[in-house]
Amino acid sequence: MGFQIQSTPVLPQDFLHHLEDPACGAVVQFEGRIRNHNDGLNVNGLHYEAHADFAEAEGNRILTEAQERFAIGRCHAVHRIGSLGIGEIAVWVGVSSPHRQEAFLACRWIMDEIKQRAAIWKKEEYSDVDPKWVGIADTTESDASEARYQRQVNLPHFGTEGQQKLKNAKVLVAGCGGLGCPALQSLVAMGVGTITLCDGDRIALDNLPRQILFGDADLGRNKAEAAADKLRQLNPGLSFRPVAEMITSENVDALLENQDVILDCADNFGITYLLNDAGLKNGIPLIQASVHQFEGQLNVFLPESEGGCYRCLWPEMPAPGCVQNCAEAGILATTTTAIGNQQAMEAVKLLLGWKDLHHDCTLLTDLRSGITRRLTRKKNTDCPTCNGRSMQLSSVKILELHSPDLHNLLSNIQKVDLREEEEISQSPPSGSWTPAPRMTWEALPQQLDKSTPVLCACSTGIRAQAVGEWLQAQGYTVYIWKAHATDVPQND
Amino acid sequence: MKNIQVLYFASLREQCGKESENIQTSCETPLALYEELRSRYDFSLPGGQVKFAVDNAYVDADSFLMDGMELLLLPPVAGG
Repeated sequence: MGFQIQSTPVLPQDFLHHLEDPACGAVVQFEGRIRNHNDGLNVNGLHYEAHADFAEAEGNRILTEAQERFAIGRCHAVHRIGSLGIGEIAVWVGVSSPHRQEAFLACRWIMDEIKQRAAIWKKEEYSDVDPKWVGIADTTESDASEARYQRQVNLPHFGTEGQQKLKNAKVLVAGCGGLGCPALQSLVAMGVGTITLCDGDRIALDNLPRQILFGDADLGRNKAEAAADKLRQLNPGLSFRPVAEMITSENVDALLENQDVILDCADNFGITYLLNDAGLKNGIPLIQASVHQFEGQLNVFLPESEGGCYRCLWPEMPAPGCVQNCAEAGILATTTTAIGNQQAMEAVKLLLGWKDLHHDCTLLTDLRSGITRRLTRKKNTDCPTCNGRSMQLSSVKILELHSPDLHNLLSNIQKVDLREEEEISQSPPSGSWTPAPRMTWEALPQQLDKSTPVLCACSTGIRAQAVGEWLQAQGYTVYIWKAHATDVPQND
Repeated sequence: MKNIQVLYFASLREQCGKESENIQTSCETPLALYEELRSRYDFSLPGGQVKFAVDNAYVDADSFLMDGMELLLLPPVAGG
């Protein structure tokens, strides 16, 4: 394994023995060849020069890092120097690994790092203009930045000033799922400078068809962390702050500090009410959206606005059995990506100060019919949040096997199993539980005692969270179990 | 009797199985009409948790229904 600089032609067959490893079933090779054009100019040939010692040392560091980052077997890379004609190989990278995925990823990563980091320069020889020396990293940073955003800078009312505003902006994206992924992808592509992204959930197989930043290799990872890794690849010049936690009443104020705008991309009412109340209190605009099958509802809530807030529109959190989530109702990526991008569009308008921001109204979009309606809304004069009375909910607390104080808590708690009767009879939980199938959810407040904490559990934590948030809003102290009800240790 | 064109959204659309329909009713308000439709279609949401809109604006649940109106029935939506 190694990185070498050579002045003779690069012949891949000379290097293949560096990749041999009986444990490796995949070999990926990349050849970078001289092409006959660059940036609209005809290229006749290239001349490469390198500081050989530095280039080889840095190249070897890159290969060592690749072995640490990816589950690969062997890797080797070669860079040519001197004069090269069209079609000749300038750089060769080879990687072997037990499985193909890692070899593809590592090969690409090594090539990108060589271009960015190795001390190699090239002189392009054109047909009709003077030759010029350039670093092999494609362009300098500011040139790259200017070229990168040129198409959007050309838009009316955008300009370099607009780009600078996006670069200086700080955006909080709450939820990295169906709405969060496309919103983040666009915000990052457009160059929004600082992004805080929060999600406490892990990536599951049935998330992949719509949560478009994630792939099979991300299964089981935290969504905020996996999204940040992907977004850094898309636009490395930006600043990302992944928060691998659910937004709660404990952390919301700290997360909102210094933010210019909040995007509510979460999938539950508890977080929406929390962000509404905290956003209003801290004077930060909220771009809220939610989806159902092929439809989306979007609201831009500005502090001190005539249109009021989320609580003006929906004063009480609906009972969880009345409104389905994506898992129950079904959802398609075309809906979530369209509505997530509507949120990103409103964020751009807000950050650039455009007058056609959709505030004081609800945007209803139906992806199947293609109809979008704009419904104006008015402040509710009785709204507690808008009248400055603190409504900020305290959040449900999450309980897991490794939670500190778990056994103590379990010794005095009302345990509610929110699964259907059939699920409960197939795998009954241990200890004493109140069975509460969906039909009975609305009657739960009559059955439970407000002075004792409540533990909500189901099979995944989704139903537990929906019902838990609703009970919490009515004054109960609620813990939710983020795994299967049968995993709760018996303590009685 | 009034003719009201009713448009259903999100979970209401799913529960009644249609996007819109023409309703002949003697109901005076959107809320009263919703309660009538709720018993017909077994909607899960109580009337207090549904929003109504006419002519591109939300209207109060106790506003006055007029013959020929197009009334939108909107439930809260949580998916993300």
